[in-house]
Amino acid sequence: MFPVIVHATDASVYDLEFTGSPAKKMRFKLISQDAGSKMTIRIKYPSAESRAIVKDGSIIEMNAWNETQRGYGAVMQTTCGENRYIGVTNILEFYITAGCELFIQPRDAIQTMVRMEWTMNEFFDNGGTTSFIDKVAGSLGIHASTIKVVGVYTGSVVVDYSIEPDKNLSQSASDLQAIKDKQTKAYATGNMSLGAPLLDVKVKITENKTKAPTNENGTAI
Amino acid sequence: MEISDFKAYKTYYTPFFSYGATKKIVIKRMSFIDNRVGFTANIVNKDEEYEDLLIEINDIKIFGESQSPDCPPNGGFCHLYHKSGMISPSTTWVGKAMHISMMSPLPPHKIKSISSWGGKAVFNRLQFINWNATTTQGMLNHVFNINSYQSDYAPMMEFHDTVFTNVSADAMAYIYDPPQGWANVKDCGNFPCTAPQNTILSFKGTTFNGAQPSYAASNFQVIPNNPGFSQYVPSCVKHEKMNAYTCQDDRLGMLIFESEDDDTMDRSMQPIYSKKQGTGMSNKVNSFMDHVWDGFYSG
Repeated sequence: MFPVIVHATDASVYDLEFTGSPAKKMRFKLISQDAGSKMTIRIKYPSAESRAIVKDGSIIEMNAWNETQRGYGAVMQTTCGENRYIGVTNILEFYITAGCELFIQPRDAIQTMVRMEWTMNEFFDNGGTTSFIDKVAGSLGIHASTIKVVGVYTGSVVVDYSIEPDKNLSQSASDLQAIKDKQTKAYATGNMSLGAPLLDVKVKITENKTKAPTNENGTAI
Repeated sequence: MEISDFKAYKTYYTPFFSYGATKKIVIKRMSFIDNRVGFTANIVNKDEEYEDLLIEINDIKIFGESQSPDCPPNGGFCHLYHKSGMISPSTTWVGKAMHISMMSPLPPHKIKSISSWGGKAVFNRLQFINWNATTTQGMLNHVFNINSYQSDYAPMMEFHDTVFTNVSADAMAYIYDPPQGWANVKDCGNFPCTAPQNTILSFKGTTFNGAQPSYAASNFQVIPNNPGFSQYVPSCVKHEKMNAYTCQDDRLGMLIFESEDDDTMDRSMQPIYSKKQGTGMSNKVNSFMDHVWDGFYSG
């Protein structure tokens, strides 16, 4: 455990800089005699792995993607657990209030990085992330809600995205391998039509397989 | 667990110390006069560490030096000691026997275990009476100290309706810097563990009778002399003789976090720097000490 004294005033933003690799799964709590104490915490990760903020056993989804800002919407310090991921710099940003306890945990997901021969303007002029997600979903025959863009950045255009199990179909982490295989085949056979020539693709599966947070009875939450 | 109605005078170590295996301990209606090491209470609880582990201390009178001298008035030999009225409480995974039968766990307030997550310390209606910053023998004499063995976590201490009567300004607290001796491969690694520099004494509804320190107010805080933090909080004022700052800012708090990975006991993430944007804050934080509880020595 790491206890850290803080000055948790309105709009305060703290960077936690780990000299070692941050843990995959972490637990956070802010303690103060003033219930109004609050802060945004930013953690820089070495890679664009899919992570979730969990509060009271439920994942708090990231702020909505903002096409104008070309990233997830800024953390406005609205409710404990509000969060976003900042692509390229790989920063997870979340908001915590006094007495609130949060967890960071890896998501069960297929992580894909695809590089396309496009400019950023061409990418966003052709529908941006919404169109991109629809194309991936259409090519793989999966629901668009299971696909999340982690980041879009230049080089020519690089899109980091994740595919998560479809809860509506009661899918679990074990179902991801089949989707990964299907995606790999689609890229290999040219059946993944994203609107621009492909230059590079990298794929891996991340799993939430570290020790789960537990309640007072030792049961995973 | 509840313990009440106890008095102690001029003890060599703490006048009162408990280490109960419980979720809540209440200590109340006690009086302590002129003791060497301040009283405190601990909880040992690993299984329920993520729940509130409450140390509640109520209606205690803590007096400073008495008229009875520590040394013979004729100048004869005596030992000289720093003194304190109370020391920081703690909650840990492992405690010690009710009746200590080995040398290793001594002194009684020695901590040799990992801290539990849910520690919470609340003090109601404590009275501190007649405290000067030095003893008549010229040694340090403070109302409050951090436990000298508390390398890992000193939970925020919440004081309500405290009364200070004739307590001089510099006698409020002394918060020690983490000793360099902790910086070795068997204890804290390359630099000392940082708990003493990351804690808060937060007072609400306080009354000062007699001496009126510059920081006397109903609500105030005492924080350590943390070079990467304290000087950057606008309301905080440094007190050299306390090695601490007094502040008037309710938004001071403690962020606690930990790895939940399976390798949490094996892989280091530290040092970790906590930096508040727009300020010069850069608080370098270490992990826990590598405790060994083998009944012989602490590794």
